[in-house]
Amino acid sequence: MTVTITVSGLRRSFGSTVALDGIDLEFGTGVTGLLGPNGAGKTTLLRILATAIGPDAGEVRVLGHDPQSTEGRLAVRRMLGFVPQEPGFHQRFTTFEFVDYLAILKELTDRRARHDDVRRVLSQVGLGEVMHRRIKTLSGGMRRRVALAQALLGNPQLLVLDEPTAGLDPEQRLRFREIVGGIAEAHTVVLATHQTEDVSAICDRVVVIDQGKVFFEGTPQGLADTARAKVWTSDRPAPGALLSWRTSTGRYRVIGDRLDGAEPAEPTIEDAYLLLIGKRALGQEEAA
Amino acid sequence: MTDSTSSLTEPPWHSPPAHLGRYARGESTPSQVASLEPHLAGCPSCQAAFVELTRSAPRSVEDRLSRVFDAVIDSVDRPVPSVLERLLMRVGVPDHVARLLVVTPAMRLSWFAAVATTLAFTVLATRSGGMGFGAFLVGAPLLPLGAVAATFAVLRDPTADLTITTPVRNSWLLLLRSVGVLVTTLVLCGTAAIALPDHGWENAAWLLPALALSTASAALSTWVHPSTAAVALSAGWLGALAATSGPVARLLRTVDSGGLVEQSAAFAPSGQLVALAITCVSSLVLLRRREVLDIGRLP
Repeated sequence: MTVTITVSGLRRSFGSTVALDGIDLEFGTGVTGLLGPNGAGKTTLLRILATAIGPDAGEVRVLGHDPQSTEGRLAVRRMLGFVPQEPGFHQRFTTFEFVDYLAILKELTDRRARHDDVRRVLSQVGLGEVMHRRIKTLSGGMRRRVALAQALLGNPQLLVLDEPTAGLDPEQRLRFREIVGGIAEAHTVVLATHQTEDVSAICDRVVVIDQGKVFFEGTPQGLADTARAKVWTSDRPAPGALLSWRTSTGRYRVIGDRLDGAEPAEPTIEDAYLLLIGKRALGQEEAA
Repeated sequence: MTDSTSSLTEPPWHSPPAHLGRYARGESTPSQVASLEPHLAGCPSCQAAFVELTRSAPRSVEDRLSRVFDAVIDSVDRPVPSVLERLLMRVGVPDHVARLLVVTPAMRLSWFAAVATTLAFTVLATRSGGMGFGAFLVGAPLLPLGAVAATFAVLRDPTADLTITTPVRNSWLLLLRSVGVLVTTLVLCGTAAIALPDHGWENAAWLLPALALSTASAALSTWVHPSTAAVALSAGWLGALAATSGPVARLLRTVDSGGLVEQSAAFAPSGQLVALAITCVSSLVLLRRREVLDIGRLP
């Protein structure tokens, strides 16, 4: 992995709420997934990487530039594609007009070249057929794809995507994976998601973040391995376990200590994530 | 094996080398392209001349046709500019700048129509003796103030997260839009001022207060919400008038020529100098605090 982004001692608060509490991380070419519950600090981290906001303290280097300086910020923005968590739209624009408007803001001022790029990205996300429909007539999933399309303008070196698959149907999600997978071969993609399937499907690396701190950084397989010997299948539920649920086979999947008669199961990213975060989320935090 | 081009029937005429040269350089007009390409497709001599000119394979004809087809696609696909965009482009504004301008809330025909209608009624009422010349002087500076405040409020629009992370600086974008709405609103107010009864230089006494309020609104918007800034400045403006000339209601009743200017220091030369100073200071403040508009630390 070629390191393209480094953050060290990153802190950011909103009033009395600490969103990032001294984070140290490295990101490189390929896809890095940020996993964490709501309010974990994922969006704040992505917004700092995307130069939408600045940190209170700490250092950030993005593609060799310091986004806290005016020149560095401009340089980063010229190589950036960003999909915010809740992208907004000018409702009176058509799809084409809206992406064209963003293309102008990305300094694509030659009309023909700009229009060609707008058509390319709309086609890439499967919106070529609706490019002349007004934004307000599009479904939620289509709007997410419009947001993704504008991020792809100009083939950016860095893609920062905040929950890009939220609201997409399974087919659209597969298409998204195909698009991002193609880009990630030579570029840096950082995405926040709640979908552990997305992480296992397309991410080279995964970072688990909660309460503004990093709890895991490594490969998806490495994350899954942290749950080894803590995931079981059993014929009966396990009330004392962190979680147990009945699966489609009729057996119970148990996360936690072994039960009598339980058999070890191959852990998944979801199991490991639940083990890392679930105790806090479920109010069962143990003393270290 | 026979060359495929030699089997074509030679047309009775040939394209002049100058035309082929312009075509090869991509400088032909669409009508010239439409005339030349069918001929070129069926004329071996001109194809040979064209190949010689471009020093490339005959495939360049296909490439050129492909580019023409792309141009046709683009002309069909590209958005139809709004009336306002077309007006801006007609006066020399580049198409991409016009697109950035028309998103401005106060840069809409409905806004201009509302301002123009308000001013037209003001002029009519003043000329018919229904209201004072003072009402125009008091109200005219508030129109550009509202336009600029609405422009700055656009940074809080739903697309702010997308636009703030683009290379185009938001401070530049806001300045561009503010200048756009300021110029057009001032032109409308200026037109109304000319249509009012002639009071000499007093017809322009609203201009510097308008600039002062507009720039102060922009500068204050780096600390507080633009609507808060606009309301505070409007209240400040009316308060300043009341403080320097008595209750505003009395101002509005001042119909006589020169009456308002004599009564209120705000329109006297000293007040004009204060307005000029506020304009300059506000512009400097805006310049110094423009980073706030670029990094998303807005209130």
